[in-house]
Order: sequence, then structure tokens, then C-alpha cells
Amino acid sequence: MAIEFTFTPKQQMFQRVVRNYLRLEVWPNVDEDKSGHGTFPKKTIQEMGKLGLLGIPFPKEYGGAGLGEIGYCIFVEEIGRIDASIATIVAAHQSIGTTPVWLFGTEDQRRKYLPGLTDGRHLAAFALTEPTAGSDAASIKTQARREGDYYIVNGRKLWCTNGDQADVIVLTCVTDPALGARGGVTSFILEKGTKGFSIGTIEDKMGIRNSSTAELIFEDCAIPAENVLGRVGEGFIVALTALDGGRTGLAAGSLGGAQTLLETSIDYVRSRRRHGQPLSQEQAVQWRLADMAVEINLTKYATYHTAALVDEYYHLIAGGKHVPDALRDKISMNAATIKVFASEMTARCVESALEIQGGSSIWDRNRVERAWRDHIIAEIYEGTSEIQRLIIARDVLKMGGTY
Amino acid sequence: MLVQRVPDPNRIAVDRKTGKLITADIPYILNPVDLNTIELALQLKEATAAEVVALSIDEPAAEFEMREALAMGCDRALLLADEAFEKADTLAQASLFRTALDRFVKPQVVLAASRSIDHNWSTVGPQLAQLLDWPLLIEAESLELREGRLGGVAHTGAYRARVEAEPPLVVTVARDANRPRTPSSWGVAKAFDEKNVEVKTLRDLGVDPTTRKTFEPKTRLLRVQQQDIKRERRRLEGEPAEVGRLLARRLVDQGWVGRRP
Ligand SMILES: Cc1cc2nc3c(=O)[nH]c(=O)nc-3n(C[C@H](O)[C@H](O)[C@H](O)COP(=O)(O)OP(=O)(O)OC[C@H]3O[C@@H](n4cnc5c(N)ncnc54)[C@H](O)[C@@H]3O)c2cc1C
Repeated sequence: MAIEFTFTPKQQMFQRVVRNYLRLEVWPNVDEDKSGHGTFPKKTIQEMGKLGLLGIPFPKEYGGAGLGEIGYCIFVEEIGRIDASIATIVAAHQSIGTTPVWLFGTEDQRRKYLPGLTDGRHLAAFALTEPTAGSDAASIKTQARREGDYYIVNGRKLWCTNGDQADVIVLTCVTDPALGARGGVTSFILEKGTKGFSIGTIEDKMGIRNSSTAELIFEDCAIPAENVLGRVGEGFIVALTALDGGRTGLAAGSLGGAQTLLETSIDYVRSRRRHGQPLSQEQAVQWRLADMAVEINLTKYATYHTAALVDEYYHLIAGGKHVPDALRDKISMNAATIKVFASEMTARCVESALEIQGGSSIWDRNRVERAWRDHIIAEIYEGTSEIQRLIIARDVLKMGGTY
Repeated sequence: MLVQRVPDPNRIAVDRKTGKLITADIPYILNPVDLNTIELALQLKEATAAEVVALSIDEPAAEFEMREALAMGCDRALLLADEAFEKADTLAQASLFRTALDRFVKPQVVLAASRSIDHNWSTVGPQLAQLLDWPLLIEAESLELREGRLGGVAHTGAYRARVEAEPPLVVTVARDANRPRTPSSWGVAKAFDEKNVEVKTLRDLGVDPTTRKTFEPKTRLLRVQQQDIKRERRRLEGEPAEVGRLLARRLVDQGWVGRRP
């Protein structure tokens, strides 16, 4: 494979267009709602839908822009620069919400659901986590029991991003308790308004406050059997495959956040003077800036390298081609690597930005204060840092090293 | 529609000695007033089903900025690129535009930005109108086709005028005439996957290569002098909203941002 780290002209144009749009139209309106559980930015999300920003990676034949995982990551990186709440919403919608329908849906399911999801009329979500199953996703209990042409679902899902806003939810349930994670878990496409499905608590969070995190309640909820997504019993393959792209996108979002921290720090030390000199003259400050820049630059290469791999991988799956296990492992290892590194790298950038920008960095509405509350979730959702390390460790132990 | 790329004003440097732009490796953008022009053209297209063609004279590398026009929704893009055009001044450019329009487009209406933010010469549109012997509508803020006549509101200096003329005609478009649309992700994809920038050379234009002299500039840039701007400090007091309003008012009144009402 050629080692080429330049975006194509099309990707460069997309980045330029997205950056201009976000700075001019979105950035002035990203104030957080500090009351209650925050306010879902419905207008902005609808506008993004009209601009084709909710269907970036998907093939044109299903209404997407066909810009692939790299295009998707370009967008998440740019939105990550200005607002982690919106980044969370659009990422959950495209990567873990819509991608499974594209990768594992039957042609009928794709034709039915993808056009609305890619042109922004509909929003998607992904529900795996339960009260007793977070990191240990294999111990989910929400059950789907086959009855004639339906599956009857009972149980609760927790912390579903976009859950209360979504029109379509990819739902993971136990279909055979005896088999458990190996063959006993199945994915479903759940439509909003299905009888027996209701929204419970909507969380009031410290960070990413304008994204909504909802509890989903299922009481004898009947989902048509034709809404099984992928094969019965292979729900974990659906979920884990979607998470590979999801984690890569989250890394891109963290990368965007880190760049804003570096840029605001540079602005600060250029204009802040002590002893008649700008702070930027202090070597101690320069070293921090250099460390931030080093990590950001390296993360950028690794993130887009992973995005390119995921793109190939997803096209193989969507095309019904054979995917070797070794490739699956390599993708998961790369996605886990970049997810844990980018999220923890941003945490280090937050620390540096706090140090550099001093007292003003913790003022209400300061971008560092906001980043300090917003960045933490990146180390938790779609698998905590510990879980990413487990994936990586399992892989290096198996391989006897890295690839 | 005539468009042009210009150096990105946020990322340029000027050589203090010569007063000229440092041109090595500078990033370009579409001339901001061209975005207003494209928006106006696209609105006209939506109202009349006209075809919108973007036309530029530049180096082949300008193809990238032309794609932005395509991404916004222009149907075609024509780039006149030839070493022979390098020295062309605005009059020579207007003449090239006339030839290209006649050969490849045959338009009913030609739109041009009232000015470009690099040289700020507002001459190409008027010169082209003169060469074509078409009526000219300057500083248009809006356009509307009514009973075969194209009407527009022109904003010049302190007043607005309603003007109309029968096509064919040339229109120059006012800065900030409208809010240019953001290209969608579909538009960007289409601009690269389905549309093309047609590059035309001197030969394609059917111009005799021995007439190179035609492109010798008739105007010459002698010197650029930077205007010295004195910094002024003033303290505004009051409620934040009020201070904001006062500040905005001042900046507009002194001509730093926006346009005077
Ligand atoms: C804002 C928000 C949005 C979310 N959105 C979604 C969503 O859209 N869909 C969805 O399905 N879920 C979602 N989640 C859930 C999220 O994915 C889980 O929170 C995450 O997987 C961790 O699970 P947990 O919180 O139950 O932590 P636990 O599993 O209880 O873990 C607690 C701690 O123990 C550590 N730990 C656990 N197991 C091990 C181990 N084997 N070895 C070492 N350390 C271990 C963990 O790393 C963690 O530090 C969301 C969560 C939040 C907070």
C-alpha cells in the first residue's frame, strides 16, 4: 500500500466547505443550555441534514454523498473543533445508528430506511448498553422472543444517544439466552412509535449537554420479524463492526477538540503579556505547545489511516464479499488504538490548555472550561479506555507483537 | 458568470519593501463577491431554468476553486488557461471573455462581481459590456425576470435604483448582495464525480497564436502603497448588549465592516 497522507481534491474541497459552514453558521449558535438536561439542537441538525451532512459516508445509490469514512471523519473532526454535543449527535446517527443498516440490511431494508437517514429526514440511534451491561455488553438481558411474525421485546436500554429524538434505532437483544453472546444475540431495526416502546429518563450530564442520552423501555414491544438486522444470532457481529467505524469517528472528534485547545492556547499566549513580553516567549509555555502539536499531528495521521482501512473493510462487507478474520482483527485493533489514544491525548491537551490559559480558562463559557467537561465522555462511550486496551492487548498477545 | 480565485486574505503576507503580495504557496479562495454572484445566478436559474456557466481566466491550478462553483450548483465551468494570458490586463481579459462566451456559451446574461477583493478594479464587467455592446446594470443586489425583461435593484452609494433591461445584458453584482449558499456534501461529490472543468487554451479560442501582442497590458501597475491606519482606542460603557450595539454602529459608520445603510 502506498503511503500517501494527502486528501484528494474532493476531500480537500469537502473540508473547506464544511469548515466555512461550521465557522460561519454553526459556531455562533453553539451556546450550551445549562438548565435541565440541555436542549437538543434540532434546527442545526435539520439544517445539516439538508446539506447532506448526515449521510456523508454512504453510497449515492442510497442517498448518501459517497464520501466514505474519510469524508465522515473530516466532518466529525471539524464539528469536534467547535461543539462536542453536535459531534456526538451526528456521529451516533451516522456511524453506529445508520452504518449497521447499510452493512447488514437486506436490500429491502436498505431501500426502506437509508434514504430518509441519509438526507436528514430521519435520525438514527444505537441501543446496546443496559443497567447491568456496559463494558460487559455480552451480559445484556433485554429479550426478544419470537411469536409468529413478530419478536416480543421486554427490557430496558440505558444511555442511548439520540434515543428520544431518533426515528430509527438499531437495537441489540437476546434471542436465545442459552447461547448468550455466541449466537444468542440479535440486532433489530426499531421504528419510533412502535407499540410497547417508550422513553424513560433523559440524563442531565456534566458534558455534551446538548446531546440527549435517553433510557428506552420495552414492555411487550412487538417488532416485525422482517426487521431483524443481519442474521439471527449474529447481533454482536453487527454491533462490533459498527463500533469499529464509530470509534474511528470518535477519534476524529477528539482530534478536532484538541486542535481548538491548541489554537486558543496560542491566541492566549500571543496576546497575554508579563514583564512586558508575550507569554509565548516563555520556554516552559513553548514546550507545552510543542507537546500538544506533536500529539495532534501524529493522531491525525493515525486517525485517517484507520479511516481508510475502515472504508475498505465496510465496502467489502456491504458488497457481500468475504472478510478474512485477520482483517477484522486488524481493523478492530486499529480502531481501538486510535480511540484510546485520541481521547486520552485530548485529555492531556485540556490539562495543558488549563495550565497555559490560567484563571480565565475556567470561566463559564470559556472554551477550555467547556472542553474540560465535554472531553471526558470520549474516554467512556463506545468502549472505555480500559476496554480498548483489552482489545489491543488480546491482539498483540495473539500476534506476538504489532502488525 | 465570470469568477476568479483570489489569495485568501486571512492567510497572506505583503512584502513591506515592494508593497506586493508574497505569492509563493499562497492559499486561494473564490473571490467573496463571486460567491454573491454565483448565488444570484443560481437564484435566477431556479426561477427560469437557465443554465449557469462559470468562466475564469487563470492558471490550470484554479480548477480547484472552479469546482467550488460547481459544488454550489453551477452546471458548467470553463477555465481559460494559457501561458499567453499571463500578462493580460482587464481589457485583454474582457476581450478573451467575449471570445470564449461567443464560442462556448452564447449567454443571454453575463454576471460579474462588481469587484474582486485582490486588485479591487471594477473594470472587467463594464469593459465586457462595452465590447459586446450590451446594456450594463451595475451593483445589482437582486435580479428578476419579468415579461422578458431582467430587472434588478442596483445599490450605488447612498441610494438604491430599480433598473431593467432586455437581455442580452451584463450585470455586475454588489458585495454582500445576498447570503451565498453552502454547497451540500452531494454538491461537492457531484462537482468531482459528475462534472468537469473544461480547460481551454489560446488555440481552443481560435485566436491566432501570433497575436500574443494583443495580451500585452495596456495598463501597468506602477506602485502599491500601503495605507497607514492609525489605531484608535475608545472606551464604551454600559450594558453588554448596548455596548455591542454601539461598537457595531461605530465600526459600520467608519466603514470597517458591513455597509452603511
Ligand atoms: C453520554 C453517554 C452516551 C452513551 N451513548 C450510548 C449509546 O448511544 N448506545 C449505547 O449502547 N451505549 C451508550 N453509552 C454507554 C457507554 O457505551 C457505556 O457507558 C460504556 O460502555 C461503559 O459502560 P459502563 O458505563 O456501564 O461502565 P462499567 O462497565 O460499569 O465500567 C466501570 C469501569 O470499570 C472498567 N472496567 C469494566 N470492565 C473492565 C475490565 N474487564 N477490565 C478493566 N476495566 C474494566 C471500565 O473501564 C470503567 O472504567 C453512553 C454512555 C454515556 C455516558
